[in-house]
Amino acid sequence: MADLRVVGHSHPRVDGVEKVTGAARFSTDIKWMASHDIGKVINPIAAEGQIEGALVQGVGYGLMEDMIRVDGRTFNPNFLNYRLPTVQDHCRMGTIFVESNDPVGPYGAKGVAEPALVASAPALANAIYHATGVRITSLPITPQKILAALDAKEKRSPDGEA
Amino acid sequence: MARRKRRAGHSDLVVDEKKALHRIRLTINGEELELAFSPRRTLLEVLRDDLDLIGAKEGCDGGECGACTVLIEDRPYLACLTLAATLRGKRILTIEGLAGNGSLHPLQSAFLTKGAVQCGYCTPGLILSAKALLDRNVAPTEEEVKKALVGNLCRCTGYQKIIDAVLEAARLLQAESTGNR
Repeated sequence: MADLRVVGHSHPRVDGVEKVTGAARFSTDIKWMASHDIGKVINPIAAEGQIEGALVQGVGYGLMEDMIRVDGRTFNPNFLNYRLPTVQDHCRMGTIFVESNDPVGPYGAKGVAEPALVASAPALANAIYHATGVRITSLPITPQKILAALDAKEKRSPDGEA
Repeated sequence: MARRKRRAGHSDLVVDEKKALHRIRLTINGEELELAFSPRRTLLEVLRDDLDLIGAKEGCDGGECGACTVLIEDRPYLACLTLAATLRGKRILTIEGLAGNGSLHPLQSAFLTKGAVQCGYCTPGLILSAKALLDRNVAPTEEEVKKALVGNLCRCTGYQKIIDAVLEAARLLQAESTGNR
């Protein structure tokens, strides 16, 4: 299929969550790898930048960005309450390009930018499941949701580890 | 022409514009200037509208995004939250004053070679925040770089290449200073 783009995303290693705040902590020594078929890679540095940018946007989309509407009005129309990932939310990333030749695109290239975003939230959800054992099925996976899920899990099995 | 001050709501308040202008001397990018402006104006407005120094960007205009970061006495400040009238005698550096003698500052060349620029809107603020860091810490760790840049939001790059560029610039600056000895 000529249009298949996302070849694979590993998930970032989440070492655990902060006990009090529920915030997920990224491992500092394991890279978040993203592998993409973007056709012919014309400018490798710019292409890497597109993928890395999409992954960090994925951190926002997966973990923090939540546009709240009340009666049709946006309740949090600023960057204080609509949280974007800052440089502190960055985790080390790596990119693998699986080159192909798209006969329709210029010089065999495909578009790259948003496609890399698609797989990032599921990858994060898996990372949090692996770190905590709780499966969150709605986005964004906020610290509050993680804490609530951990509490619920603890109530179900008081002897088990939370 | 002077108009009488009327007692009315704030939006209706008319004052003598000429008398109300604030006059100060300050240094911007190494050039000593005497400026006159309304005391309610921010440094960002004076830079962009009066002086045509449009490197500092207006992102959120509320101190959230860091796109308007400039250096006042070598420390990073948000120009959108700084009243220009408070800067009497101060030394200000914007991105326009960073490159000297026709050559880029090591931070600028590192941002280029590492690919740390995508749309470029956050770049002036990030470079100046990074310069403030490198001025006081010649060999920062990755964690220190992250701490210094946390007030500058970037939506495009994913920050990785920015961190790499700042670390590279630190190496370039160190090589420069040891080479000069």
